[in-house]
Amino acid sequence: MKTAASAMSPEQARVRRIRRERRNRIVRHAVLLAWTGFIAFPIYWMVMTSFKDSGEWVTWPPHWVPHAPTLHNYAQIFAFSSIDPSLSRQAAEQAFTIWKGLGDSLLVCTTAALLALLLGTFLAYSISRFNVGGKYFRHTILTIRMIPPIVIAISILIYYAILIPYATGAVFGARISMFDTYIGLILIYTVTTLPFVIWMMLTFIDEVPYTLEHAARLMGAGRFTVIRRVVLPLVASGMVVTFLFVFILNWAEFLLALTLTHPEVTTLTVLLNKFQSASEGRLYGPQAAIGTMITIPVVVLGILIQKHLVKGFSFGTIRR
Amino acid sequence: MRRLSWILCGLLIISMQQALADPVADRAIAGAKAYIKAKNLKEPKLTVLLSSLYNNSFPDFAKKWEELTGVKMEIVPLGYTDIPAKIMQEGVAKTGVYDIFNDFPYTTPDAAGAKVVIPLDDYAKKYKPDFSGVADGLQFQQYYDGKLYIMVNDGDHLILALRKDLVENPQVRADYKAKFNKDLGCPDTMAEWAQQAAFFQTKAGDTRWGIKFEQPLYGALGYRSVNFSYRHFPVYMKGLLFDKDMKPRIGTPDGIAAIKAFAASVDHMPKDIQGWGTPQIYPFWASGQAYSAMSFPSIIGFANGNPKSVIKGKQIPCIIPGNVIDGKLVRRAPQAAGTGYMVSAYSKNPELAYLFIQWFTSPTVGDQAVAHPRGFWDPYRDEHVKNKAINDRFGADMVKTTIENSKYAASLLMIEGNYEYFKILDNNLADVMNKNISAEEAAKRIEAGWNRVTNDVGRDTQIRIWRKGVESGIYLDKF
Amino acid sequence: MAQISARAADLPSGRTAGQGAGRGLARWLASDRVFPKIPYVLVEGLIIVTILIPFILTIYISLLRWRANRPFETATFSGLSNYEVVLTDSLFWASVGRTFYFAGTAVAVELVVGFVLAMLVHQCTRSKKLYTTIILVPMMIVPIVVGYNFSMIYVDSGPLNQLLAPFLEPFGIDPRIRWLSHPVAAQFAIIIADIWQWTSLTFLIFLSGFSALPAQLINAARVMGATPWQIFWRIQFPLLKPAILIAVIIRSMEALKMFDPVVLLTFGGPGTSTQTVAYFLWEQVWVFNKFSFGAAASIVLLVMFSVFIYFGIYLLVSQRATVDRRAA
Repeated sequence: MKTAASAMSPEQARVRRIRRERRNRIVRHAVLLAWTGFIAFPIYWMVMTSFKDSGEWVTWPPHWVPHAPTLHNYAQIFAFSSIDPSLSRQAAEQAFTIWKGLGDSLLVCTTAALLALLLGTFLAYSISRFNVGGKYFRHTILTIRMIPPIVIAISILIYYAILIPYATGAVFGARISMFDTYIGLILIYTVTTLPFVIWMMLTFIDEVPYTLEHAARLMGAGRFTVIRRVVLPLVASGMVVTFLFVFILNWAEFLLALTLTHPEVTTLTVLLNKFQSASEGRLYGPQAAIGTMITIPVVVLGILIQKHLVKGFSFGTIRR
Repeated sequence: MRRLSWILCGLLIISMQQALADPVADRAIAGAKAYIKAKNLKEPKLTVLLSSLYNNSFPDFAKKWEELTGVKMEIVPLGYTDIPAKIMQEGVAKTGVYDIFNDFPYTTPDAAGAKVVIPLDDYAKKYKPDFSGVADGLQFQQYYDGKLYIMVNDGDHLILALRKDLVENPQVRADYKAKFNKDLGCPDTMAEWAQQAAFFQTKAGDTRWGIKFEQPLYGALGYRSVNFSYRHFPVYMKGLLFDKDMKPRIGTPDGIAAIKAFAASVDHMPKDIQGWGTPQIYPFWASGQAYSAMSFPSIIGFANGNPKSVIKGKQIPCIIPGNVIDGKLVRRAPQAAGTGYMVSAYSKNPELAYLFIQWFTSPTVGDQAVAHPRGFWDPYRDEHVKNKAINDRFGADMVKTTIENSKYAASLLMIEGNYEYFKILDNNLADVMNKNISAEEAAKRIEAGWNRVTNDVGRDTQIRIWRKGVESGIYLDKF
Repeated sequence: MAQISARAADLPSGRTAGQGAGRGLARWLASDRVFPKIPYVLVEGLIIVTILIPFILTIYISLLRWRANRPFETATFSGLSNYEVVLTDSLFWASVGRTFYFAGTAVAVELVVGFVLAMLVHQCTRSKKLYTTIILVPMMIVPIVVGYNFSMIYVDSGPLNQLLAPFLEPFGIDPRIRWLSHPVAAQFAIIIADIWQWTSLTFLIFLSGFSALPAQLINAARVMGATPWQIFWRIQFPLLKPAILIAVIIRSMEALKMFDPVVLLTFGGPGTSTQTVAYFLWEQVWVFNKFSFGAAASIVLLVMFSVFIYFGIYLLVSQRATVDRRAA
């Protein structure tokens, strides 16, 4: 079927097409730029607010660029003593430094991601090579991830705070609660991110043909050597990507941290929430500073693994 | 001979010091030392779950106690919004990590019901604390179900602050008198306060009474945010929230009028007031953009001391306005904040924990706490009016008003499930303030919600506790 | 491709892996029968200990009558009465309905916008990578920070109102709208925050889908004179169906769990107008200490969700089967 306007000369048709393509291109870029602006705006605002002093947080008209930029908010969150004595009563409730949150987040997220990676890769290998667990195991394991976190939180709260102390009391004589402990949170993060690790590592491991391993086995290599020398080098980059992805998931996690920890363990997300409460209003400046600090590493990491995300999120339904 | 006279002199001086010292605090210290010896404790330790407000002041006292008794104090600070949940979780996990809980008195009912805190009557009988000079409304909040559970050293009930420069301005006074035929001053009733707020509401740029208002002047300030409004609602409510049989009184004409008045008050407050807390209200007051503020007593000190304040020395503290009930003026200042200390049921040394609390809330140490420059404890004993350090810190005017106001200090709900009752109240008040539902509809929903909670907790228990509480006088009103 | 050392001399023979009984054990562990089962046992064990047992405990608690303001020992067995309370609680069902409303609206918009964006970016030649990087950023921002950002923007003297002011002031409307204090506006605030963040995910899924479209097929159709519209409807869209399904399932499941923006922006307020079911449950258990109510409600929620879960897995499996068949 030819396009309409076949009555035009080829020259005119070409000019028409070029103009149409240029118009399409302009429209395309306009739409994309508009969306980019929509995306960038809140981030921009947060970064700007982090440099504003308290007088400028809520002004009318709002200040798009701080009139008196200050590093006070950053100084406050990076201070080594906990509370600025010049703050009023309930403001003192909300002034926190970032150190504990940062340390706790790093510890919990890294450990949980590593554990999940180890277990998950191991299991993914078994599923890929030996079909462990049956044909649909890789799908049913996703069920864990699909349970609403609040249901998990309620169950785990009761578990950590009632059953575990009861059990340890009966067995060891001392009641130990796993509520608000590092181990408690790490365990839950590991279990809830395991499905992702398995799923992602499956895509990577599936790409390593079993014939390679078979050949190595035929040449007399033991199982562990095969894995170490043959499989791992090929999936190493995949493991890095999976680790970073799970790390980002843990880093951003809020509900489980809010419900199962604090104050012994305080992750950054919970810390950010502490900067405000319905009854006490908000300290916008320090919140913005912490928000910026939380955001930067994750965005950087995300950009690094972006290419692999595009592949990974095909969920194996698209074969290249 | 000469050495003996020196020794005698020294003993005399020491004994004089003892006589001037506080017997209540002394008994606590002596008791602690005796306890340590009797139990042969190698390294006595107490862990305090402390509201993070006091992070800059409480450690000083903890250190002093350590020096006096050798008991090591470990402090775990936590935001006050999180402490009730933490206490209840401790009740479930029973780990015994904490010895002392620092929280508001209205956490006591749930905590006592969960048996995570212990009654302190036996210890009180043995070591005799001193609650003299503490207003009834404050003092009896320490008791729940007839037993002593919590000891308080902080009188944080609501007062009203007015702008002195506006009140004493002759043109303003003349205008007000002409309009209302009454002298301008501390309002007696809530209706009068609303009247004054409406009178003073001024738009930016207007000139009134010869004063040009560059910024707008709002008639009033107060806490209207969800999770906080309930603390300020009882001032509007004429009397108790429930009747003798735990039937909610919110549906009565008085209750509905209270809801209406509470919601109408936001008309003369900044538009964003429903999202404001202390970090916003206090600086706003100090910036001079409001005529009045119903808040904690510490707002006076803040506006006097803060470097950015433009109303230094221009404040009048007033006692809380009241309502006219049966022809009489009845004032009621909700004890909106003000923390105390409870002893955990799973503490390994509950008596020692009690002794610290007795020491910390004793007349001398309690006074020192109130006077502490970085502390947030407010005056609560009659004698604080004469205490120089406290007057220096808060201003004699404010201390006098606070102590006088404490006569009208009334407790918030001291029954189990109080947070749930309050949340229902808060949500519906927010809806009325946003003009989403009418006051009558809100009253109906609040009543239904409250009845549901009462049934869930156990109607018989609630009725019993409620009647006991009302009889003890913590709500000031009686049936 | 990583270097694989394939020379026989480099590979240690199996015989050097330990001596004697240790060797026997190691060989048994490394055998084809046992080795794959090890991680399976470990993971299943972990799941049992951290998910299954707590779940059974939750069912048990839901059969008791217990608020945390009574010692646990005094809790009495009350059978299914908690379930009755939950199923007749209007606030619970209101929050469920609200959650579906938020999720439905947000996901619908995200699907459309993500699709359009992916299509447009796919057509770009030079700036594709740049646009992809930028558009993917919101997904990586911690949700709680997103909530905070929007709280700043929705403030009544915030930039959103400033941008809207030119449209409102001519009508005499004060532009300083309190978004978060108005029940309907607050709901839209939450939905917009969700759209802002998660359109990146649908975009990502669709972009992978577009990238995987067979270029030859499309070129062939174009050569034969098909209009762009026909190419889209008849070729691209059907091939993208799996991606669309994936996007719908994944986003819907995640959206129904909405919690973070509610906590940061509105606290379920004003009143209860933005309480999602996750927030509602959180409040019941962590603020009011109604453990057995919360346990019963979470079981009810799980049952409702399991319909979705089953449906989702079924779709994933069938899609996988379709792709396998096609590739074969």
